[in-house]
Formats: sequence, structure tokens, C-alpha cells
Amino acid sequence: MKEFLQSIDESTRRAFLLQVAKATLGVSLAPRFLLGAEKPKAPSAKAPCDRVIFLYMRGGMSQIDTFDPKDSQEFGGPSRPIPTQSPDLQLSDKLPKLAAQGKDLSVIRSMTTKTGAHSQARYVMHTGYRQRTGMTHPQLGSWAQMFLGKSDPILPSSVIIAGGNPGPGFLPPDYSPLPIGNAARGIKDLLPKIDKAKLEKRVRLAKGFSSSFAHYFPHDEVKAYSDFYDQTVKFMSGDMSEPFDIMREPGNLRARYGNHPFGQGALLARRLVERGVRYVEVTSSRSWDSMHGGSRNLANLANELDGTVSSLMTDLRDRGMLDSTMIVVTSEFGRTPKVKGNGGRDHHPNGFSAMLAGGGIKGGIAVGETDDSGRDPFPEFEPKDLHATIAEALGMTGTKIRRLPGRPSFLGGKPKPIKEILA
Amino acid sequence: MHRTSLIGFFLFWVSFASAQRVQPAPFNPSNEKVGIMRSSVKAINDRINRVLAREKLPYNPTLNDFLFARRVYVDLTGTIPTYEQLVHFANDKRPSKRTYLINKLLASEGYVSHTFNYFADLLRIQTKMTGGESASERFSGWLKDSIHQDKPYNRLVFEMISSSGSIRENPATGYHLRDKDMKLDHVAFMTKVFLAKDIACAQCHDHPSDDWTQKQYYSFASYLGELEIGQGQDLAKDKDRKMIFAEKRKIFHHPRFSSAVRSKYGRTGNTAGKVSEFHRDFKKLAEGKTLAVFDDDGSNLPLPDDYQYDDAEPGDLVKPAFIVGRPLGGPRNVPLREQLAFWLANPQNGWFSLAIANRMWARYLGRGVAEPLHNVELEKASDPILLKTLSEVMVALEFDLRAFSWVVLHSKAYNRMGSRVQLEERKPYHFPGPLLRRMSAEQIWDSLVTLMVADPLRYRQPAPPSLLEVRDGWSALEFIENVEQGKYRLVDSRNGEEILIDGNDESSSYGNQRVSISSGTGKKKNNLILARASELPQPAPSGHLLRKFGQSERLFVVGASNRVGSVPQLMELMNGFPTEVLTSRDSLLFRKVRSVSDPRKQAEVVFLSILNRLPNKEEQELLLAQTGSSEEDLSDLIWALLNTPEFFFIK
Repeated sequence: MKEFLQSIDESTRRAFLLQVAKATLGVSLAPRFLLGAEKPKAPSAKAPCDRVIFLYMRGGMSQIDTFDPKDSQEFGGPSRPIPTQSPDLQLSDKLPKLAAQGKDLSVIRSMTTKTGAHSQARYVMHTGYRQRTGMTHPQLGSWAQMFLGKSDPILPSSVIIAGGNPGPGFLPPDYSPLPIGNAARGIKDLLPKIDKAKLEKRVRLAKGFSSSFAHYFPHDEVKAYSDFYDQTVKFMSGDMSEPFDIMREPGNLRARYGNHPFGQGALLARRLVERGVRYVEVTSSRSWDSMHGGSRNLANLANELDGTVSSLMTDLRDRGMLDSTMIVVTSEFGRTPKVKGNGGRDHHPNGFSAMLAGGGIKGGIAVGETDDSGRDPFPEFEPKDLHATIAEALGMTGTKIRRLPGRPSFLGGKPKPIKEILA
Repeated sequence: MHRTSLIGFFLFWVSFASAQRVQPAPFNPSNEKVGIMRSSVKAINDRINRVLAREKLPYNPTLNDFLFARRVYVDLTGTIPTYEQLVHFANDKRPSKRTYLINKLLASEGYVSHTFNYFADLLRIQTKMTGGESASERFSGWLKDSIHQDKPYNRLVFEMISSSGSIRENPATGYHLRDKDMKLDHVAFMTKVFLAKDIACAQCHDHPSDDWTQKQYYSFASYLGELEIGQGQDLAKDKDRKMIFAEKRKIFHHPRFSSAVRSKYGRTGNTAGKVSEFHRDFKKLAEGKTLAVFDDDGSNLPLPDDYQYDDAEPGDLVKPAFIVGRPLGGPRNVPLREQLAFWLANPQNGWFSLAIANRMWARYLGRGVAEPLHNVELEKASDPILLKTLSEVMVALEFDLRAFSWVVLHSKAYNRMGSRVQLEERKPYHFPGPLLRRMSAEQIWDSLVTLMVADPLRYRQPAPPSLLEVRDGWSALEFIENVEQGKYRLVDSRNGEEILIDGNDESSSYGNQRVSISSGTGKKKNNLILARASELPQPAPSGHLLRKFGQSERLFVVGASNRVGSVPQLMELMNGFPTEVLTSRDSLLFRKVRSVSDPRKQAEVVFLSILNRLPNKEEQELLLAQTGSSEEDLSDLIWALLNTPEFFFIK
């Protein structure tokens, strides 16, 4: 069996596993056990963090202008280091609000990735893997669902706001993050616009008209769809507009998060993790791909980042959730330290930054460094190491990270959790 | 004022020229070919009859007209039939009406669209592709044209593999551009797709089951050793270049160029900067500094640094050699890639014909004679003789995919109900009929579009603007913007009106669009439009219904589309935009229903429109018991039928 699974490729294997799963266990339960993870059990010791908000700066965030400032005209360009609340950490003067919360956040300054192409680097940052023929890897939220189980009986375990790929990779579609395009609308477009009685009537009718087909074709595939219909109705029977509706938040709080898709997305992320979603990713509204742009653009980008992330930290702290919710801010790669003639910076995969805060994270420090010219990152940390760090904080480590049948192990290679930054 | 009309006129002219509806080639095979088609059907039937007799299995029950029509419409045109099409077919009294229908659909626009979807999945076409300059649109356009013109499949593959030049000169180069900077993967995709051989493992080490060594992999890959994708070898023709520079002078000295830029970007206060940016971009384009596919001297594919076996050293160049089958002669003094194309897409290359024949069979029957489709081992085929027969038919029909489809659709196995008994994994399937299949994401979306709008193919992705079409400042601006900014264009094929979609907005779902329901035409508000899947960005944005229903991400897996259910998928069907449109009383469907007055007949129209069949006895009782004849009741009925699994399965 194991050889068989190893000898076939992704689509076949997935189809096969699903087939077995449906036949033996009923659709909604199955794949987790089959794919080799243990049945999730109550964690013996509470993990340092149980929620993650991953804030993704699309387009290549300039580390020099944010988390790895340099004090020179040549490399600092328009940005200079400023002190923060923590004596051990400096940030760029473009991030004054985050600097004021320096004790609660830390920075990894020696991130590296192997490619300077946007889409490939984005894939690596989301999965920990390089793209390879015949395989798509799961994003971190899907892995977490697989190793830790669903984070809520009804809500999805991971949500992706204003982002794109990747999804559950080679894991079954059950592990898909729920995509939300526009945070302000939430899932309005997917909720019933009719009253409950009417919905019930329609569902009853649909069931009636489904029976002859289901009877003629007693297939697992058809049964699976019936199951999914039941689950969907169950999902909608709760007040599902509530967790996804940021208009229920006070107006001044909405404004503090920033009146742009990223700010509103971060607010929705907080609302969702508060209600049981484990992993939420939010993509920045502006693209950092500012190779043509100059400093004018930078101010907008940095303000969005500074305002939203600092508000998110404050809000979580006010609610007593910062200790158990990790915030991650990073990008597919960084930007060259040297500023180009037109004021822009080029792609820079070798030496960029990630900011971590909250649950499981030691605050107020910088881990790793680049030299005065922003090069030579040491010690080098790759996206998979960042993933391993998050995984460790979530309690996904130890025996649970292991080889799946016919699969590369979770996080590939030998990832090193970045212990220095963990509380 | 005059500005608007000028642009209007110009865009009308350019877009309309490129969006005009060309009718697909008629399906009109020669008598000789018809003879081959008929005998092919017989050969396939004879073989399956024999196997079923041996296994003591009966064929599945036959199809009535409704089931037949639904199936061939979905299989050939990618969508369920309309109410009118279905009724028209049912009332047709000609004895050969099923053949007439198949012939008609093989020559329809829907066939082109649906077949494009099939290949777009197989070739992992992405709108956002290396090469800027609307590379993907050009490649897609070329593929659609090739299907339109009924280009034989072996010719299509030959043109892709041997293609050289820039995407503008030769759009088939999009095939190589798609996999720029991943040549070894490119080779692995090539063998999976065209030869049904998965050699990917041997990229890094000898294949575990000893089928291929790493050295063999590199030997085969060496046929692409000289392949280069780089800047600017194209537009070498002086004539073109002179003309383009003359054009450029005309354009940038045209008084309206600056005014066009100013009126569009003036508000941002940086007109001069924009103008010079456009000058720069245009120069780059006009000078041909775009990516091009060409062959360099000498291979750039040495064995890798970590090559671990004793038969060669790391860094050695290996002699090109074919990975399966045998050499087939052919020209020797042509570039290696052409030698490869000659061998690979050759009627005498058994793996090539077998791979596509098996794929096409699976496309219509729900399962290949051998699985998985991209890694066939003859001895594991459910029936090697049937596989061989199909392969021979493909060769005899000279890789005419429409004729091959005709043959499959006339086979006895195809003309039976889907199997009630579930397929048992790793047990052979003997084709007493097709498998029960869930529709592909594209078929589901396109069926919904068919229900929503009167002319689903009205909005088309036009061919990208050509440099030669640039005539004045405004069109220059248009051209550069299209080329540079990744705007996704659609054109209304009735009036040439152009619609821009932000192709970079991955998060957009179609939730914001509005449809002018009463006129039955799709109109976009924000991002997407009610156009067929083949005309939308490839793949659709992540929140789109297409993606929820399993459209492939088109990343690194061949055949990554899936047909598995999920909760968001069904929320989409229960509460999403299409259902909202279809259950509203202004919808096209409602108007069809209202054209009859008898409530029972009204319910029939709904059944025929959505499930393409009449209600059975129990369902009639349910209708009587549970619903009345008010508009509310009709809405409920439409909702209910859209939310039965039967809607998106092919029985």
C-alpha cells in the first residue's frame, strides 16, 4: 500500500485517498487519519499560542525602510533608524507607531529566499517549499488544521483575506482556507438573503428533488455531496453573518485600523480569531513592488503597515488576546539596500525581514542581522524556518511533524524553528 | 467631446476588427474519412462487446433523447442545452437526428470554447505569464484559432515544440514561455502531457522502479538543451523595424499623445513623467526587447553538480536520446528542437497517439482505458487491445480531434447511462457505459451562464492589440497600457464595446457585478462578467465560482483540477450571485417560464431548463403538494433544482 501510494502522483493519490476515505469513514471525517497525522487529542500542555494572523506585504516589502533600518545616506535612503520602546530594537522612522510598542514585537532580520521572482518567492513564503513538478504544497493554515484538527466545529479553520493562492495543496479540499475578497463585505455574498423559513422550505424541496437521482446512483461521490449540503445548511443555520461582519465593530475602531482593504482585513482577522478561526492571512492593499516608485509611494506603504499593525496589536492587547495570538508580518522578499536613481529599490531575496509579535513570541529583540550595507544576512533563515517557528508556537512539533505516506515531510528539508524569538 | 468620439471610434474599429465572430470550420469530413469513422466505431464496439461478453456484463440502459442531448451538449459545448435547444431536438423527427446534433455541435463556437478549456488545463495556461506583452492572450488566441481551424493535434503539438521567435511573431512560443526558467520541469510536463510518461522523479535521481535513470532524463532533456528564452532576438527583420520606428515617430509627435496622457493622468500631476515612461516602454517594445524563444549553439543542460552515478561525471554534456520508443528518422540538419518535435508529434510515435487517444476517451467516458492519464503502463490498462484500437483510430483519422470525438460519441458505450455501480479503484473498468461524472468547474460555470444570459459567447477575449494597429496618440496609450499593465480585456462582440478587467486583482470575486437581468445580457460592474470560462482570466481569481468548483490553479501539477465538493461551493450555489439572478423574477429563465400559462407546464419549463428532463411521477406529486403557481413558488422551484446534485452531474 505504501509503495503504491508513493509510486503515484498527486492527483491520482488524492483521488484514491478520498475514495477510501469516503468509503470507510464518511467524507467529513476521513482524510486526516489517512494522511498519517494522529487523531488530534487535547493538548497536554497548552501551546504558547493558538491563533495566528499572518499579514502579507505583497510585492516585496523594503526591509530597510521598515524593520532593518540603516543609518547612512547610501543605504538608508529616505529612512533612518529610530529607538523603540525596547532598548534592544530599532525600527525605521517610517514606523513610529510600531516603535512605540517595541517591547511587544521582535524582528528577524536575516531572512533569505532562493528566488527573486515574485510568484515563485510568494509560493515559497506561503508553503515553505520551492515549486516542483507534479505537486502543490499546502499553505500553513491547512497544515495546522491537519495536525491540530478543526479549530471550531462550524467556522473554517483558516481564512485568506484579499489574497490569492495557495490553497490546501495536496491535502483534500476540506482543508481549504475560506477565501474572502473584500473584508468590508465579509461573506455577505454567500449568505442567504431570504428568511429562515423560506430557506428551510427550499432546502426541503431540494432534498425532495434530489432523491430519485441519489437513489439511482448510490455513489460515494453523490453521498458526499449530500453530506456537504447538510454541512452547508448547518453552517448557515448559525448566525454566520455575525463573525464575518466588521460593520458590527465600533466606527472609531474601524477607523483606527485604517480605511483601506488591508486595515479592514486586519480587523476582520481579529474578529475571526476571536471567534475560533485559527489562521487568518491578510494581504496588504498596496503592492510594495515599488521599483519605479520613489519615496512618495513609500510613505503611503509604510503608513498603511504602521497604522494597521499597531492598531491590531493594541486591540488584541486590550482584549487580552495578544498573549495567545501571534502576528506575523513579512513579504516574499526584500528590496536592495542601495536606492536606484529614480528613488526605487530592486528585488532583494538575500536578506529581508519578518516581524513577529504576540502569542509565543519574545518581544523587543532583533534576531539575525545584515551588515552595514544590508547584505550578508547571518544566520540565514528561510521561509520554512519561519513556518517551523510558527508551527512550534502552535504546538505542531514533536512527533506530529513527520513524514506523510509518499509525501515530503511537513516543512521539507530540515527546518530550524527560530528558538531565539520564541518566548 | 471630440475626444470621446475619437476614442470611441478608434476603439470600436480596433476591437471590433479583432472580436468579430468567426464561425468555426464546418464539420464536413470527406466520404473517405466518414468511412474510416464508421469502421472505427464498429471496431471499438466489437472490442467492448467481446470484453463485456467475456466478463458476463450487460451494457447499461440506453439514453432517452433528453439525457442524450444534455450529455452531448455538456461534452461537446461545455454547457447544458437551453430549453429551446432541448425542445427542438426532442421534436426533431429525423431518424439520424443524434448524428445531426453531434455534427452541429462539433462545428459550434461552444466546442471551441470548451476544447480550449480542456487544453488550457492540460497546458496550465495562466493569464499572468512570463513575457509580458499580453503573451498569454496571444498564446490563448492562437490555441483558440487552432481549434477553430480544426488544426490536427499532431500539427498543433509540432508547432508548439518547434516554435521560435517572439510571441508576436509566433504565438505558439507561449508554450515554452509558460515554463521559462524551469527547463527540466518543462521536459517533465511535456512527457506527461504528450507521451503519457511521468519521468519527473528521474530529474533528481534514478527512477525508483528503474524505469528511467537520471542520465536518460538528461539525455532526453538535451533536445531542449539549446532552447533559450531571452531578450530581443526577434523583430530582426529590418523592414518591420523601420516601419515600427516610423510609426513611433508618428505617434509620439502626434499632438494628441501628450494630451491623451494629460487628460488621463493629469490629475496625478505627473504628465511629463508619464509621457517619458511611455516613450521608454514603447521604445522597448518597438526595438523588440521582448522575450523571444530561440536556439543557441551548444547545450546548456549539463548533468547536475550532484550527479551521483558512475556512468558519467557531474557537468558532462550528454548526447540527446529519446526516452521511449525508437528514433523515427527525419531531418538531421535542423535544430534539435525540431528533431524532437518531428519525433514526438509523429504518427509513428505510438506513445504520442496512445496518450491523446486515451485522454480523449477519458474525456467522454469519465475514465481512460489506462490510468493515470499522464503515466500509462500498457500492461496496467483495463484492456490493452481497446487502448491499441483507439490509438490506431487516432492515427487513421490523422489526429483530427473532432472526427475522433465523433467516433467516441457514436460508440455504443458512450450511448448508455452512466454506471450505477461505483468504480472500484484498481479494478478494471470495462465500459458498459460512461462513469457517472461530476461536471468540470468550467462546465458548471458555463451552464449557469447559459441559464443567465441569452448569448453566452457575446463577451470575448479579443486578440491583444498589435503594434501595427497603433495609429495615433490615444491608441498608442491604449496599446502601451494593455501591454504593460496586465489589464484584462473583453469585447462585446455585438458592438465592439471594450471592457477592462483588472487582471491583477486576485481577490476579486464576482460578487460586485450587476446584471441587467431584464435584457438577459451580462454586464459587469466591477470585475467580472457573465462570459464563458474560456474568455475569463486563466485561471479565474481565487474567490470565483470556477475556483470553488475545482478549476486548476495551473501551477505545477498537470490535471490539478478537481471535482470534489466543499461547503463554500454549495454556499455559492445556494446564495451566490447566479442563483440570485436566476431566482429573480426578471431573469431570462423566468421570462421563458412565463411564456406558458399552465402552472404544470411552467414547472416543466423549469425542469427542462435546469435538469434537462421532465419531472417524474413522484416529483409531480411533490410539486402538487409543496408548491403553488405564484412567482414565489417558481423561485423556490428554480432554487431547489439548482441545488440538487443532479444539476452538476452527467448521468
